[in-house]
Amino acid sequence: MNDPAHHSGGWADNPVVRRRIRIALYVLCALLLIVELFVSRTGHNRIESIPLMYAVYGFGSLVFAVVVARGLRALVRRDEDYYDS
Amino acid sequence: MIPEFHPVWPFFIAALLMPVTRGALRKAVLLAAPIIGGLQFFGMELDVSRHMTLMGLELTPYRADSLSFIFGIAFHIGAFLSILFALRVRDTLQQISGLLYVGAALGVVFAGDFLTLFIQWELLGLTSAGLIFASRTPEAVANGLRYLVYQVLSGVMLTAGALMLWLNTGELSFEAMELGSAATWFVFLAFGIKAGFPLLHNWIPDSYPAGTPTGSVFLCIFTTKAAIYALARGFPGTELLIYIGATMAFFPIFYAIIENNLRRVLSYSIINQLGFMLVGVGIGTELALNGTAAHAFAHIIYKSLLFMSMGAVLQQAGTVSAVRLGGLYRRMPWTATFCIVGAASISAFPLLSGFVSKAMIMTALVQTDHVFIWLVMLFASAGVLEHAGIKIPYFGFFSDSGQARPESVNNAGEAPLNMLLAMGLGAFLCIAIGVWPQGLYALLPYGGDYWPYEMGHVVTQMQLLFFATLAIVWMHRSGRYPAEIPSTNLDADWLTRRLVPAFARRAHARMAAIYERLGNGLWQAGSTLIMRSVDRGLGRAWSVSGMVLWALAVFTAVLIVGLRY
Repeated sequence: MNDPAHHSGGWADNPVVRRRIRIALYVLCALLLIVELFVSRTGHNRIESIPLMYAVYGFGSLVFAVVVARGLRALVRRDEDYYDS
Repeated sequence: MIPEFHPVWPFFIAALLMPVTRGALRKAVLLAAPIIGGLQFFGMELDVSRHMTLMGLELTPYRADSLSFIFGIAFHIGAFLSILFALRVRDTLQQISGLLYVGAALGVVFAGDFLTLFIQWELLGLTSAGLIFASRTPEAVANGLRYLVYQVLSGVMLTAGALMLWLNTGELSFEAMELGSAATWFVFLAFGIKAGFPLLHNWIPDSYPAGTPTGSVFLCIFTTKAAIYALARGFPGTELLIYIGATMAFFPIFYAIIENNLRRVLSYSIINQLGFMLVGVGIGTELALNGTAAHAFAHIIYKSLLFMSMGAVLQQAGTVSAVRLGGLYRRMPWTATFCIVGAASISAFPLLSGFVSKAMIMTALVQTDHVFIWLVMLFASAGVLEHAGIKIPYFGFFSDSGQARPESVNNAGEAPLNMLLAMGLGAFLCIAIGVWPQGLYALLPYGGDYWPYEMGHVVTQMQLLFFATLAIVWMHRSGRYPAEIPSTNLDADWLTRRLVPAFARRAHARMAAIYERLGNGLWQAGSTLIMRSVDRGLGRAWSVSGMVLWALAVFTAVLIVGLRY
């Protein structure tokens, strides 16, 4: 059960499949940017009507979240049995 | 035609029947409770109250209106899913706890006065602890006790607040209040503890990962949503809730990223989702309150689905630690599929339930010009995608960390049929609500038209989610994404489990020194006894006497404050 060949046998472990999924994501992102040009935006506030706002904000949010989380980990990480000792 | 009865009865009666039934009959009783109870909601008469007088007190144990209606339906769906999921469990303690717990939650939702509310509120805390104790490990017992301290504290504060309200006004009826008096603050904070307010939230990530694989499915549904109901009933339009909710939606994201226990990730995710609901309550417009009710409804289904999938993994593979899991998608393909549906729903992808409910709260924020909070919640939406949308399914089923996996993971089999049926039904409902939101909107408590599938909204939401995914892929591939590491991450529990005991220890040493000089032996004996319990109780996981002592001390203090009025 522990041989490496066994682990890499599934479709999701196949590098080709993984690459195809990534490419699909890139294409989808590009398409979404193009579609935005053709959709009439009924922005309710000023920020919403900034072009590409959601795409940039979505990407930026996650980068920010991960950067802060790394800092948080440095601050709060303890051993697993911290409270038992 | 089913005769009219209070919604708690099917569950309480089923709980009574547990000890005297076995095998298939017991399963039938378990499943019958939510079905019989649920049938009552077809053609339920709304804006009806039933009154009774007890020792001169005018009580309203049953009040059905549009708000209790939608929460009642959601609770019955949640009850059916979690009972079906737990159908093969052979543990009378868990079955009785679960049934009483659901009954108490319905009791809260239909309570029209504070005395009834208090009784159900306490029952909610006490009965649910059985689902944690049922793990029957020393850690689970300690966990359950810590859980009970928070639950009992909430009940005590509710008593104090309700008592003061009653003494001030002579009224016990549970209606909308405004923050201002000490009484309403007590009630507000009592609800707030169970709703996971910041700094009072720690019991959620502490105890929900400690429940049994099936018990945590019950836990993740009822307590916090009963509290959301209570706040929506008692404090709609309280602006403070907008800021509390935004904080709750914000900070768990960072904890969820660095957490390795996947059921704890889901627990932080609950706080994040409760944040959205509280923002809706805080805004208080009809659209916002509808949004809160809709989001609670959708959340109950997708969150229980996610807890079911992780419960199935825990049961079949023996762990939900991200570093130990991997490759389970091949051994548990159905569970993985249902988990992905739940994950995409909570992330609010179009055509799934989270999208049609969260959109109402976001629109309400825009309409009321809360631009900053709107940006915070937009960030929170992207954060949900990270920890619940991608991290849970990826590390639960697809990751290949390269580390040695335990045999239990490599040999895990697919979850049993009843679990798959429960998860399948949950996944079906997530899709059904997303595709046909009219069905959910018809149940909403307040009027008003809303339609989520406006082209601009769909495109922008997809941009937010897919570019957030892009960021994760980029950070993961470039090694910037933090690795999974099993650890304890200090949270507000550090205050109660480390700071307070340390402070008390120092204060005690100081006092003891003074009294030693005074030669008061009796005092010293007494205070040493208390200190020893504080030391043992709050400080460590092995916390029995100290915890109870603390709860008792706070209980007394609050009651004294309460009665002075």
